[in-house]
Amino acid sequence: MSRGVWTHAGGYVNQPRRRMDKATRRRVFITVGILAAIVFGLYLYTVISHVRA
Amino acid sequence: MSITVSELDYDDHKPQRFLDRWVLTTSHKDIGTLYLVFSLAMFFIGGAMAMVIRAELFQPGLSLVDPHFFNQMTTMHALIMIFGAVMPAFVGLANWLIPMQIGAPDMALPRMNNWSFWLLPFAFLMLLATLVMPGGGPASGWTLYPPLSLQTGMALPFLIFAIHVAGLSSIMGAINIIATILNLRAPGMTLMKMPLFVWTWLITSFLLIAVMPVLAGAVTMLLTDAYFGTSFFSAAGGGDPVMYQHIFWFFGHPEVYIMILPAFGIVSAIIPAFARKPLFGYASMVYATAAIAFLSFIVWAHHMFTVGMPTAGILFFMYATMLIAVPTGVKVFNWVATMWRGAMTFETPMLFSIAFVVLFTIGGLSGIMLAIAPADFQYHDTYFVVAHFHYVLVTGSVFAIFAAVYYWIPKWTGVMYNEFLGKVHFWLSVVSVNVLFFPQHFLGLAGMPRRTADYALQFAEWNMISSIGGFAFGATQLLFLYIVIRCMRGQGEPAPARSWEGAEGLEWELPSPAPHHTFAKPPVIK
Repeated sequence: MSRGVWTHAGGYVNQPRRRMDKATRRRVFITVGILAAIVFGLYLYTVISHVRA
Repeated sequence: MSITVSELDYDDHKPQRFLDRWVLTTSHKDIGTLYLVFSLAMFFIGGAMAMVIRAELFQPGLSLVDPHFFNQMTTMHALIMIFGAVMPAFVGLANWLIPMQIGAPDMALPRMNNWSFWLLPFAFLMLLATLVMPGGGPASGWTLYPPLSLQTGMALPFLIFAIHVAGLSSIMGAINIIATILNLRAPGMTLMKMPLFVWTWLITSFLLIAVMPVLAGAVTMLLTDAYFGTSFFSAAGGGDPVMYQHIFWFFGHPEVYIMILPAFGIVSAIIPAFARKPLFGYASMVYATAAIAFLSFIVWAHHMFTVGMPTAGILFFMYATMLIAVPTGVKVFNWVATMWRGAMTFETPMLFSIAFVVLFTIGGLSGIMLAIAPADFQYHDTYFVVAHFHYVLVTGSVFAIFAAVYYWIPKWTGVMYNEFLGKVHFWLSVVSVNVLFFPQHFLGLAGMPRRTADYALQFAEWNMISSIGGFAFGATQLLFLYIVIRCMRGQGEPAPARSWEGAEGLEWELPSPAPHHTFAKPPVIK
């Protein structure tokens, strides 16, 4: 659950330059890293497990 | 779930230039709109293909198009409706609603969100372009079974690349949704306080993560079989074409639930609002959704009972499939129990939701009939299957999307849609869709095969009736387009913040239309 507050470093010009607080950002990257590893792993496993000489 | 919001933070500054607003956007709301508009365009392109199919089948004989082109139409109709219309529509709804419903300022990865969307138009332009290539587009059915799919010709690599790109888009969307829900919920928004739509999308995202790479692997192997001399699925080279079917359906069956679980979430939001009662059995709804998702991984071979599996395998997949009726039944019971003795009113979103409950259940029951292996030997590859999955996907998924658009469009555009026109759209849709698909049960039981441009004379009457229903359903959707365009142009009664009397949730605390930036400071939920 988000405990951090988002700040607006650049204000509302075009798109806001939002920064998550450090702890939330860290958790987001860990989540993405784990999920991306699962995706690549499943893709490679699907192909490689069917390879026979 | 009761929510008290302590503090609302929003701002309505929007980028001024078209390029910044719509092409380079990182706003979850604008990306949601892009997804929904794209999905609507694909719905009409795929729908036009369905009209060609029904026109050819209006009477027996090869009357309108070449049979090879007919097969391209059935294949492309499915690919476009599944990957181009239904899935992007749900992702669009997720983009619009999930951050607002959990009190987050945006998706966790806004730039990747932009990229996920903009991959899609390229993927589908490439897919549609195959129709004008020498040899035509893919014509082997959306399942792309080898060896038939390997005879596709020049379109094959384009098709496979389009599937890879669309799959990549889905995977990135799913990662974004999971990262958002797990990390950006407002303080006090515990998992068991989340709206059901958020819950169903969280579970759907895990399904996407688990099965899209498997589809990518399957079509990669098709590509190497076609162009790099491998024999994954060629018996002549020591491979196994049936293995493709196993791999494809390990993706394909959860894919069905990817297209229906968010619909469950939508209906679970709308029915309580118009019954003016809290959802009956919230926790059981969450657990039932998770149970359906788990079971969806262990039932894939019910799509291939006729390939010659061992009896033990057939029995396992038959009983596992029937087991899905239990959590699904829990859901249907809960929706009915929510309506029971509620102070119900029947605005268009509620009408579509009630039709969803009734007609999706018909699709579910014909699914149980198909799960019975000895019976499936008769029904397999007949129009009964076509009737079954169209009840699930049209009167299920598409009706839920209609319901969602009518329910949340006041929040998106700031105006109410025209209720009279909405009801006309509902009644014309619900009558015509049943005229379209119900007779297909009879055709299938009588033995009419699917994916055929011609048929025996005995099937003529029901096919003509089905086609009339198809034309009526197709024409009715132009009315939906008109209703939506009117709202997008701001024509209609101004919508209040809480557009529906019984609506619950954080999004209804915000003004209508929702400001461009919401919840930059997270609200506190008590």
